[in-house]
Amino acid sequence: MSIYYMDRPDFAPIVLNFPGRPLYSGNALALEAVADWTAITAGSEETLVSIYGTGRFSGGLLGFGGSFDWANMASVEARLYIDGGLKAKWTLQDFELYIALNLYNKAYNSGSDGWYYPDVMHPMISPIGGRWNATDKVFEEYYVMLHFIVEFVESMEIRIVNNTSSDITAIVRAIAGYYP
Amino acid sequence: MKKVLFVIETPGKVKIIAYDYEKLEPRDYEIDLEKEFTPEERVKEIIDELENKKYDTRILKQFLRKRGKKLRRGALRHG
Repeated sequence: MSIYYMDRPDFAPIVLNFPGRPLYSGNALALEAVADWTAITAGSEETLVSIYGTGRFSGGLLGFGGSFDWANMASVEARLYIDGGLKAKWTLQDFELYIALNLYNKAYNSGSDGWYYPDVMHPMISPIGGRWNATDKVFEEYYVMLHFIVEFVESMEIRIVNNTSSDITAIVRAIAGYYP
Repeated sequence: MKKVLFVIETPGKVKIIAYDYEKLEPRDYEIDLEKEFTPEERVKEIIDELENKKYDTRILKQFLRKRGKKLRRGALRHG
């Protein structure tokens, strides 16, 4: 019997399989997990979204509020934990590097306050906008889009680490689907 | 397996989704940690309720073991 004939719902067909870890496709069971603006004190780490079960993360949004100059952007980190283990982490600087500092340079060189949006976007991990304070040369809000798929069999977590010397806030919206 | 459970924990909230593939209508339980004084007990009640409905509650028990005593108001701190 082929795996394609296994008793699976039509909306979660098996598309790939390798030992011990089946992967499925289909977005029919997508859910949204939202962590509203949460304060993260200086030097601490907060888990904003935890999902327990077997499923798939398929994208989301991260938002940061605070005072982020270039140095501080290296001290705020988003961490992705899959099945209990740290799988990926990015600082705000890393996010900028995915688009060759396009958003940061655009805001920095503008000389005026306001919302700025990048001219280019990375298809998987990309800054999508920020509110710039031209006097202090800092982003006061900074948003990043995540657009990739990660499968998990037990759990998934998104944590934000604030290694700056001041408090920040963060928001996470995550789209996930669950499987049998 | 036709019935699955999914738990989403965000600061101040725990959402438990029980999905029965044959009914295509998920059952949601939301625990507001700002209002619920005994979230651990509430999760246990939900486990009992779902077991009566023939759900495999291992993921919830695992959640309870890992997070039960730490469920509290606001975000989850590690630092």
